[in-house]
Amino acid sequence: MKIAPRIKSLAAAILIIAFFVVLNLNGFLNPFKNFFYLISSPMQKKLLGAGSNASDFLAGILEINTFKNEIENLQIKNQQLISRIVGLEELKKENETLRQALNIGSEKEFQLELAYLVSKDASDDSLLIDKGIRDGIKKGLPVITKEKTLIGRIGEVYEDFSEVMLITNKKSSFDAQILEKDISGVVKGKGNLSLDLEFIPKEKEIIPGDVVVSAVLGHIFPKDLLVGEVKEVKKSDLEPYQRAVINPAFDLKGIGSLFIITNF
Amino acid sequence: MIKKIIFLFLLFYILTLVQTSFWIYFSLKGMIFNLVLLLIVIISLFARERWFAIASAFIGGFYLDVFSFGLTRFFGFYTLISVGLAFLIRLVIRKYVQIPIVKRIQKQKNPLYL
Repeated sequence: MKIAPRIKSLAAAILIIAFFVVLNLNGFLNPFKNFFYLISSPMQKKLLGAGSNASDFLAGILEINTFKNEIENLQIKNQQLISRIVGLEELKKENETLRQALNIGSEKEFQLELAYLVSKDASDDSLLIDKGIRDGIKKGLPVITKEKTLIGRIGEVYEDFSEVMLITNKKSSFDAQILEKDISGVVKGKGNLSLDLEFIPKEKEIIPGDVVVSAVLGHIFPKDLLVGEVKEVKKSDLEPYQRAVINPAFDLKGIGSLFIITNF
Repeated sequence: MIKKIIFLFLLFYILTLVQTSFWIYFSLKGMIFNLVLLLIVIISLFARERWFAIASAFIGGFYLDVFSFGLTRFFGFYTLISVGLAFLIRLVIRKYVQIPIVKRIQKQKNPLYL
């Protein structure tokens, strides 16, 4: 008995869908993905290095004029920051002396786990890093760069790998504040490596260049991790709050290695 | 046929690795062009045989599912979308569109069946 081609195709489609449903329902998916990541990660790390070099080379050719202006601006900013650091060092010493006098312990340092970037999701703001359950990584742990810039938090954890949901991911939102100003808001990921600071009261004054850091409220991230810089302020008569577009402080080009805060 | 399927598995594997590691530095305003989807569309447009277009879509979508983690937690999302897309492109091209260049390429013989 011959089976009609249409029935054959339909049966094949149903079988494939059933296969995916079974794979999703059972616990096979994570070991299955972990296996693929394990065999692919050495090549992906090499490709990441090559990609970074190639994009730097291209940027050097295409943006030479922008670089000149940027270097001048950065030199000015550097001078300003050096003078600020001197002032802050004095304050730090004073703070330590006061802590000792009041018998308060010194500030707790983070316990960090070093991880390396393996890949980025093709269509979402998520990364894959080479540390997983074996290294004691758990869902929700914050991920930062060596400069204490906030990257995101751990999503799904596999045996040898973990997913990092970037702060720019559409599913990400957390409390933040503007440095040296009594202004708080909620940082929401907008996808495609963009961020917004929302729910800022209209009477508060924010300007482009203001620095945004994480706030302890909500207990999603530790306090004072660098999030980014205000790029643009958006006010509308129709909305009760103002909104700021944030330039994220992290750059994918510079994050070969990352740190997971394990004692948070 | 088996040789062609093995070739597709290798081709899409390498392309997915390039897409998720090398290619991430070449974003335009944060958006990264999806090379795997582009190849699926090209093969769907120009393949002479339907099974080759569907197999390409299935394998490409499968790798996208393996190396994706954010958009959806349902494994198989990209596979089903890609196969659906390939079917749709083939149907539209066959029934409603007459593009001389597509017909000409489909008639030509080449090892990729493109």
